[in-house]
Amino acid sequence: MRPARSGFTVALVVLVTLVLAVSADLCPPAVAEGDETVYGVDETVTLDVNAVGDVEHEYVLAYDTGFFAERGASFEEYPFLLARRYRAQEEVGEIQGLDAALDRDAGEVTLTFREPGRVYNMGDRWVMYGLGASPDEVVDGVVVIREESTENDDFTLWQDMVFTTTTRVALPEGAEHVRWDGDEQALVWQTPEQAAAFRDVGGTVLQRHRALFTAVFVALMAASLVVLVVALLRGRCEKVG
Amino acid sequence: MPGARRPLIVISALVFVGALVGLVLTLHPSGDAEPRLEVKTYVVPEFMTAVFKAYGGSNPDRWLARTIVKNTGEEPVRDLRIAYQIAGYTHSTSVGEYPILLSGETVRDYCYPVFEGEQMAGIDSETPAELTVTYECDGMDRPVARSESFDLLGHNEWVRTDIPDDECLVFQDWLDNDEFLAVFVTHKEPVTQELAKHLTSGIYTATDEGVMEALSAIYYGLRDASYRYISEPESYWTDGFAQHVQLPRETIAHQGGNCVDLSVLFSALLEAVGVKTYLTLSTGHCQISVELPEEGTIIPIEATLVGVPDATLQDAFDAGYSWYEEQSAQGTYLHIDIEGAWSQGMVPSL
Repeated sequence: MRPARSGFTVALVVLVTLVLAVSADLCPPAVAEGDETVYGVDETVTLDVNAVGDVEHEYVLAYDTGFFAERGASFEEYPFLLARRYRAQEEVGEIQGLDAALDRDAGEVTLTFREPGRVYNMGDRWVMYGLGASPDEVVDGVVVIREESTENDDFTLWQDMVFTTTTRVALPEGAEHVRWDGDEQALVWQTPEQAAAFRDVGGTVLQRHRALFTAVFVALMAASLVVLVVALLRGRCEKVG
Repeated sequence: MPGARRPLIVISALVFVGALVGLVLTLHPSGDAEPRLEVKTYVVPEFMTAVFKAYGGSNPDRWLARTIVKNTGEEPVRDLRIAYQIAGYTHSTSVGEYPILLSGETVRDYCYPVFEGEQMAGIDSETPAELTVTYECDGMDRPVARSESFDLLGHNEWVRTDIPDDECLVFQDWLDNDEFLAVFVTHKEPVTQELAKHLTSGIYTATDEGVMEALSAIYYGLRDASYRYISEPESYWTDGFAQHVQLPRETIAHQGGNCVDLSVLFSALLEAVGVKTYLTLSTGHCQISVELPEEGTIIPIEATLVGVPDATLQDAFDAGYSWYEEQSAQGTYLHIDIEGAWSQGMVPSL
């Protein structure tokens, strides 16, 4: 769930020599996959969506305690490791209030930030892209997604780790008709406020059909003015006559 | 008939006044207040022209510019439209259309430009460009346009990382844009295709034996044509984070290149005849590997040995393996799956 760089997770660590009898003269050494220890990380993601589509993010990464005791100090020594992938987004206001905290005793890293406009308002529905997988369940307005992935990036200190991720998307109060759109790969819902605003197109009847009524009123004014002028002129002529 | 004239005057005067009132009410701004928008646009300061196809919309994370619009007014904003233009390069790009923006709501819009390949290939060095973003919505008198400057990098420039210098901690940080290298592997380009077919004529590459034959034909074909290894002059390094990479057709024309250029050429020639390849990167060096289709094993090769007149393919295997083993022991290499990168949108385009 955590936004990660598109990595190449080709695990080619232990080299073996393979005598390949495809050519009488050539003995190309080949590389093969290895079997180094792969640690696990329990990741809990909370995405709290408000009524206008902004999202409060919280990522809690619970590392293997053995790994964290050995290498977790790197996160303290180089604190930018936890934040640098998000900094460019923060600088242009795409995310706000980025904070990273470390709990050495628990072997946990917690990241929090706010992302305005994370959910798109399509007028008749809210659409949330980029969740990665379809929901496993929806309970009391909370959408739960569980997935497993192998990551290799700043958060794993560049070694493969298996992430078991549980994401909870807390939808805004009043969210209804919650569904997963398989075509769009997005979570979709509606809110009464959105529907009301979308129905209320604003302005009076005259203002909503401004071009039509402007033409009608200008024509009426012109016609009545002509009639008025003609009537007044005829009266004056009769008096003179 | 003065008696009939008076009501006519009164009626026409009333109609005139009524129509005037109606017109005023029609033209009066609606109950919604004037739209109040907070707009911020960010443009990528340096755009890699070599990867322009990856920015055309296939990958939502690859964009040239983004605009963040917040409705800071009390009333909803309707029919917001955001469009982009790059003078001299695109007539239009993607257009964002948003039917409604509630009070306090933010929308994020992205620019996915569609460039002409020929035009991008013609950009040899850093070239200034200007992006104009235009937005409009109901209630605005006219669209608002604002311009932002950025640079189009030369088509040979590979920006290796976007991570700031003082935050580059491990070698992967210096090669954070490693997958971009796949766009230089132009296996369908005519000059490359012609050379690949010429060198490997009649070889069937769906078998391990066929791949080894093709590899041998290409290696000795280049070596015997006196291809040279050219170490990088200062001019190759456009700045601390970018590197000049020759396209295969340019390496063919120059009959030589550095480790990246020669590995990219090997990769393009082999991919042109259906062989799956990888580029392996470490600090200061690049090497190619091929995958045998039946065994699935991966064999590293030191491509620069084509510049050594009496070096055999076995020497290239041994040197490749030796370097790979060294990097592997230190954990200091990155493997780029060329076909995998293509499928992720890093499409060869120049």
